Amino acid sequence: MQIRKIRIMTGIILALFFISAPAFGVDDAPPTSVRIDSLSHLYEGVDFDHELHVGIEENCSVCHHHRFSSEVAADRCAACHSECGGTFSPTCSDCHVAEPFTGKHIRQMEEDPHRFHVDITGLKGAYHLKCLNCHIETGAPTECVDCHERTDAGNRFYRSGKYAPTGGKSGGSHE
Amino acid sequence: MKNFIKEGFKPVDSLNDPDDGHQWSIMQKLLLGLSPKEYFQQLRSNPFNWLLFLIFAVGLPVIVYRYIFGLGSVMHGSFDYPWGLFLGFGLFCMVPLSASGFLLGTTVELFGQKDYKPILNLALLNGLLGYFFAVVFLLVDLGMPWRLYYPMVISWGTAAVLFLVGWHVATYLTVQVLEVSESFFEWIGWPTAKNYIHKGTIGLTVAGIILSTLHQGALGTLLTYAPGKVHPLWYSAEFMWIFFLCSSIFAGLCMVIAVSTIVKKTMSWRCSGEFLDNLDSITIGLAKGASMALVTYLVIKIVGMTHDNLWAYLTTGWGTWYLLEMGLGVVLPIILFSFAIRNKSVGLIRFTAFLTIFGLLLNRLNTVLITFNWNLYQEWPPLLETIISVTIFFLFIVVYRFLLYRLPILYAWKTAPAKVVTPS
Amino acid sequence: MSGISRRKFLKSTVVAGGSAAAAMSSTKSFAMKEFEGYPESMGVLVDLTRCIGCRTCEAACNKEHGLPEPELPFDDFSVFDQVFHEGKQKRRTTEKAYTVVNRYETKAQGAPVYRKLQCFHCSEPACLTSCFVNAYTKTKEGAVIYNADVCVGCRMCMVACPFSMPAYTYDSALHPQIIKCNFCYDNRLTKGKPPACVEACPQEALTFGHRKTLVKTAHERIRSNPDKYVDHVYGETEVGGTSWMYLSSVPFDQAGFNTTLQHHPILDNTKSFLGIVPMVLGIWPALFMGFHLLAKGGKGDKESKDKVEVHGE
Repeated sequence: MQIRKIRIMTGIILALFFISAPAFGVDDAPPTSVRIDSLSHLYEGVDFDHELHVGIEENCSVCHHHRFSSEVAADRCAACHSECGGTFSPTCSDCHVAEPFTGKHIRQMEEDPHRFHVDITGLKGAYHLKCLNCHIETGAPTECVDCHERTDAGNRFYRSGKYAPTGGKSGGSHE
Repeated sequence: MKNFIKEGFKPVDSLNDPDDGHQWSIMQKLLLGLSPKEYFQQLRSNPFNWLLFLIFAVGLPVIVYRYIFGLGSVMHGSFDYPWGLFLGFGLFCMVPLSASGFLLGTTVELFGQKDYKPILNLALLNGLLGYFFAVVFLLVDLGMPWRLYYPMVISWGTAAVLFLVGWHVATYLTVQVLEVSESFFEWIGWPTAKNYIHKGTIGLTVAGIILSTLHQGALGTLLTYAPGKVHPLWYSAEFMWIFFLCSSIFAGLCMVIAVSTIVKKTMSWRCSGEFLDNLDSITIGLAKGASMALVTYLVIKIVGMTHDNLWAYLTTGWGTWYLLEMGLGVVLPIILFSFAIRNKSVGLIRFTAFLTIFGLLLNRLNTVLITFNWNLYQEWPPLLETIISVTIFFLFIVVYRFLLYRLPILYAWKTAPAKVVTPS
Repeated sequence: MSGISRRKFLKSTVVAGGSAAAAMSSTKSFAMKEFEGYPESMGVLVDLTRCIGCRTCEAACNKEHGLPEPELPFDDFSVFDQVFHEGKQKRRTTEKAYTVVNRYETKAQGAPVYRKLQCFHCSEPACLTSCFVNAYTKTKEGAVIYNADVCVGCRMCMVACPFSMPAYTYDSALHPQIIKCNFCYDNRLTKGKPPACVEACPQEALTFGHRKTLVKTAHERIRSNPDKYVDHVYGETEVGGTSWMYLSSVPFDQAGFNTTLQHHPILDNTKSFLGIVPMVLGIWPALFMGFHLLAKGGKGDKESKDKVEVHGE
């Protein structure tokens, strides 16, 4: 009975360890796919092929530029952060907030004299700027729907698809 | 009318009918002493009235159309060219041409040049009607003309030059109405009212010249809100208001010459002997004033061009157009005037006056419409807008003629049988 | 001239001059000092290097303000090929669109540049200063807003705006009004929220914040990326400074901007004239009365007493 309990406990502990391994910065098992959908409204969430991108760019800090366990990618960052150790969280939203233009966040950026990084984009901007800049450079897909499908709300918003205007009036700039 | 005169008819020119001494009624005064049948007969037989009928038959419905369907129905509705002919011609052209009021008022009343007295009333009426119809044009141009009084009482934007223009035009119109009202009171038979107004002549004249100096200049200053939009040759950051003020002087004087010419040609029956006899010498005098103003204008334009270093622009297409305007509207009139004045050639003076007016119209239209947005596309006023502008202008002519026929502007009103002149 | 007593003419001059003065006393510009702007004024920094021309901002604006249906869907990019007036003008703001995005092919780079265009919410707006019924207000949040209740429809503001931004509902017979971006003042700015377009932009090409900070941010971006940006923040000083400012990777005139604008407020152009107004009011009466007295001097009293005045005085 005792031995069985010990085995179960060990099993549980080991299982917990492996489950939580990524949290401890064990990066020999990055996720193959990540679902990015915290902001989805006009578009569906993105099923991000992480494995593919890891295959293209081995240096994690090219995208996870706050994560310095691998070599610092940008010269500008290396100027101060070349000696920094790794951080644990690869999550963008730790620094790039979903709503960057609330009064609170603006004040935070503007009023703290000891803060260095004050021109930080919000989460949506961070995703698009990070992804699209590289996609444009490398000739990867750049159409919105290449990464995420339009929702019905999105179609209504853009007056597209079945919501397209039927007016047929002429003249954009008033003649 | 000329035929009636030939037959011995004398239009109303006094309180009482000289034939039987009874006082003319208002209706009789309005019909100039003709019977209604005779009046319409002379109306019909005048070919100019046929032209008027045609213009109003087309134009008045278009004006109604503008009010029913909005400005966009008669204008281009352009966001780049918000102003068209209504303001470009109706305000910017008619106001300088109406400068005659304060010019002759100052000459006669303040400077004491009584030689110009015979033409004073005509100059005052010209000024009044010009401003009045500038307001009529404004009522057609404003998006909501029923709100015309808003800058007076509802909401004040006191930093705006347009605020000054609005208040000035309103005040100056009042001054001019009072000045012309003397003729009206004479005609209607209220000498007490006339005398009462007359006592304020000096004050009214001084007010007139203050207001006129300022708003003639203010119209120029309006363009300084859009420095990049007006072509540099027509624009000056510092001197816009001086250019507009100076050009209004010769414009007003030439307008008096022009109107008196038309009057002499078409309605000399209405003019008194005093008016006709002195007209030529008055015309020469006005021409002297106009040519001095023209020379001044040429000089200050050269100063302005030097100040802004605009000489290089003269070699461009717009430069050629500018030289044409200055040549036809300023330089040529200077030459013609000096020749005509020296030789006392009144006919040439009259022609040159019309030429100068044309030059002034060209200058204002160039500044506000033609060279406006010179960096963008060109836009010409559409047909309906042009029709409305022409219609209102002919309405101005009709009212002008109506008043000249009746009020003692071109002739002197007789309140009693003509006295024999005896030294007192 | 009739025998007018000195007292009477003085009275009439004073009344006339005084009434003119009273009418005009409010047109002099207030203090001629520099105006530093409202410290709390917000602004938007438009970074053209981030804009990809997706037109999401146009769609967001349309939705936010309940604007009319556009002719084409907002994801139809053929609009970038539209030209008007014989190719001299691209799309502009209209009574149906507070903002538009245009595409500019530039000489240097292969990629085109996109530019979002809307009211610039100037620090000392020409529209506001030219309006004679005070229909515009520059709020302390930085928005330049319009009051249709007092507008007369003179369209002076459209002439004055150096960017020609205001549109007008010419087709309305009874209530035409100016149409322009209002910085989402009513529903967002006053509630501490960013404008709809800023919130919608996927690339965060639009950065919202206090104008003073944005100027610093803009210059820091230029400093940190010297090869990426032209060393100029458009709108920092143009026409006295605007709340909507721009950064660009190409010379601004290639991205459709007017680079010949003056760097002080449009209002300043009128100050030299407006300053003269009270001077004329003060000097003219005495000057012309002086002329009058001089002219009258020699001959005044003798004239006209002998002759019959036909005017019946």
